[in-house]
Amino acid sequence: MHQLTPDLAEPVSRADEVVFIDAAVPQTPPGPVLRRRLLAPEGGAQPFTHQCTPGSLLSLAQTLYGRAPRAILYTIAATQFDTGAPLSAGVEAAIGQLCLTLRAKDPIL
Amino acid sequence: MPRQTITIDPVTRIEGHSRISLHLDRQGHVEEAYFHVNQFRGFEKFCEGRPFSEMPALMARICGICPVSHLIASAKACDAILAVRIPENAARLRKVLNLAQIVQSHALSFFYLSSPDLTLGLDSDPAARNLFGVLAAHPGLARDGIRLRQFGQQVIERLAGKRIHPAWVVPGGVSEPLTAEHRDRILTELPEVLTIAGRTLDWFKGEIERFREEIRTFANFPTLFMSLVGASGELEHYGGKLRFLDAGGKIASDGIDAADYAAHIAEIAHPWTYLKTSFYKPLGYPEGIYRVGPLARLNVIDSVGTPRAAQEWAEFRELERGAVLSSFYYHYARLIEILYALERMQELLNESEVLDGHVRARASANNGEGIGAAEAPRGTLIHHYKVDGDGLITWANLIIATGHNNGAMNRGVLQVARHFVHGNKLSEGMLNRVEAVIRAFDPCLSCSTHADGRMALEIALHGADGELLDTLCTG
Repeated sequence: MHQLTPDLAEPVSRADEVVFIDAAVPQTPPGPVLRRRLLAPEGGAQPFTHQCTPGSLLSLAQTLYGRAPRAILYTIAATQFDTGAPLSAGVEAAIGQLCLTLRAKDPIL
Repeated sequence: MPRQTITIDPVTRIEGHSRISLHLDRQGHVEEAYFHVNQFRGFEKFCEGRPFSEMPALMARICGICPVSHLIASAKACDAILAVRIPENAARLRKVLNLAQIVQSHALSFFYLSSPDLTLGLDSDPAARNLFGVLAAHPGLARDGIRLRQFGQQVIERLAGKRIHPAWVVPGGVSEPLTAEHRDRILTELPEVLTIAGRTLDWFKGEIERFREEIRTFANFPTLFMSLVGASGELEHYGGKLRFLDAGGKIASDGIDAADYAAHIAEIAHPWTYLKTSFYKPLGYPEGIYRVGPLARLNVIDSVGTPRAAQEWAEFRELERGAVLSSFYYHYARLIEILYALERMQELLNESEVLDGHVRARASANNGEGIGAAEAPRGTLIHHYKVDGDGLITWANLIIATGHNNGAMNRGVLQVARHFVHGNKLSEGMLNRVEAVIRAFDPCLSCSTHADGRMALEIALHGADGELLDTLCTG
């Protein structure tokens, strides 16, 4: 997904579970993966309405369609976001480990 | 009181980055206003040296909202370089894709970007004046808007493989035919979204009276209008020829092949913005500024061609004698076009040949130049390429819808600001109206700032009292 958009709210509302995977500038060295369960839909106004956060997407699903599924957010810590930069060794290893984790949950991934 | 400059930065709920500067005199009246597009993309320059066959995929990256429009205009330019006539079903499928693009883009503009103003009010709390505020106050409308956008995106995905930057449209046609399963799925969903489109139109027509002051002042002035029209003057988004219409409803030029655009359209750069302005050459600049997009299309055409949209169009044309001039009515025109796009999509998908497997003509470069034009959601889009003997791009010019509208947008910002903004007493609602006139045009600034490699810059030095002390120009 290039970005999370409001039109994803309806399919999200029908899912048993949603897994969000993202990258962000960390507080720790690049590579570790932060796992966070999104316990409650995080609502609130968004200044830009053609992209959403995971929390606001869940909020949309709950408000519009009456249901927000269990959701987990995996955030990979990274420091370089230049176009075309190769993945650092730490990030590449983190992605590999995350793929193994997700496949263990659901072999179709 | 001292002279003032009010800066609205950023302009919100539009595609791309810009700011507006309002310059007030000592009495607090708006003297001048500028719409500054402060992002630069440069696609015209960095595609030089690339094989022309890459151009559709490369040009699609100009935008994440309307990549299909660039795919189609670029592919048509490449078709001209190949000197091929693409298979009939390839043209049909490209049309369906383009119509899906119209639906999803217009839905985004109306529901996500402008409905907060239209439902909650232009003076409402800015913290809540967004899609989330709309869904709290009008959940049914929000749901309808999300469904319409989702439908358009899903059609694109079913035809082209993915929603954003699909590689399906290629020089010579499309890469794969449509499957019966995908066709049937789309046809099954069409009645629901047609109902939504009709319901939204009925709602909007009931709300128009609340916006009489905005209708009167939102870029409401005479200009030319331009769009592609079909062979019989009907609404047309994929093929056809260019037509210019004046504010009185009289045709100024007609039957213009897109390949001859340069004889009728010129561009001018400004020092305060990266966005060029297009104008109609016979009248020069600024008299030749014109508008494109949904309002222009519904003014320029002689007929619509699908039953329900034709009825709505007839009602729309009763708004004014001659052309409908107020840019507030871009919102109305957008909704009519959604209805048309859905009806026309239904017609095309019900044609027996839509599953035909012959969807691509193959050739090598046979012309050193190619021009392709199509109607994007925001207006006429032109891609013009030149290639060398090896088929490598040597020059490219893109004329983007938002550039056609730049003259009218700047004039519209000044008109709204002069009516609503007074230096003695400022309110957020006044400034929101200045932004809202830009939103009515639904500009795509990410698409439209490519220039030709020269970056003009003007630096203005103002004293503490606002007096202009010095200027410096480069480029």
